[in-house]
Amino acid sequence: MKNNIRMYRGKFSLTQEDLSKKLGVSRQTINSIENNKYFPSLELGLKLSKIFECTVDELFSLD
Amino acid sequence: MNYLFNNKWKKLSGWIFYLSLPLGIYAIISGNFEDIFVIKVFSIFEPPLTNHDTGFVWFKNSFIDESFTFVIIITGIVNSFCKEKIEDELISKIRLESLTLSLFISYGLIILSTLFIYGFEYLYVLEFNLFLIILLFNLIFKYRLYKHYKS
Repeated sequence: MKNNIRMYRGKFSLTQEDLSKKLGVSRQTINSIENNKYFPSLELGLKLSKIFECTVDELFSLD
Repeated sequence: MNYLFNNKWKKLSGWIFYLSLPLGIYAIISGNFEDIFVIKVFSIFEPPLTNHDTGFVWFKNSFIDESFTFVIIITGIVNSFCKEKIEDELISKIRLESLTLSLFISYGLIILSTLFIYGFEYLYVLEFNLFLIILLFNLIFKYRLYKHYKS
């Protein structure tokens, strides 16, 4: 699975720290998600799509 | 629902766990503290070193090794299952994976010990295994957390 979180984060001018605070997770978790080391839960995916005002499909896709 | 302890207990329990673990193992294995902290205890089986077929009796026993066992197990569990400052789903995943790995290693060692260690020495293996799973879990979890926070 791959994701476009880094791109959306840039688009919204958010640092990993900013995004982690909005989601209530650690900055390292955001880093792991962006580097495809960790695939977030559906709950976190939905929260991300809400923050970035897009669908989950636009954020995550299968390889 | 989560069964984790408050983060404020992490440091204290860690110190007590890692200090009491070597002392406790030494006290249990060496038996050098048999005269200390002797109290009357209740046993549902017959007291050791008697041939009477009795149970549910009071007898005198050094409570030092039992005390260490309580302290090591309780502080080990509290330290391993304390919340992190930011407790998120990746930390939960790391915790679960560490627990799984420590369980596999611990029972793997028990299987190997059962195959290759016989007689009275096997009892030491079982005694040590009381704490091995907590110790392994604690070490693996801490190492993986260290790697996670470094990333």
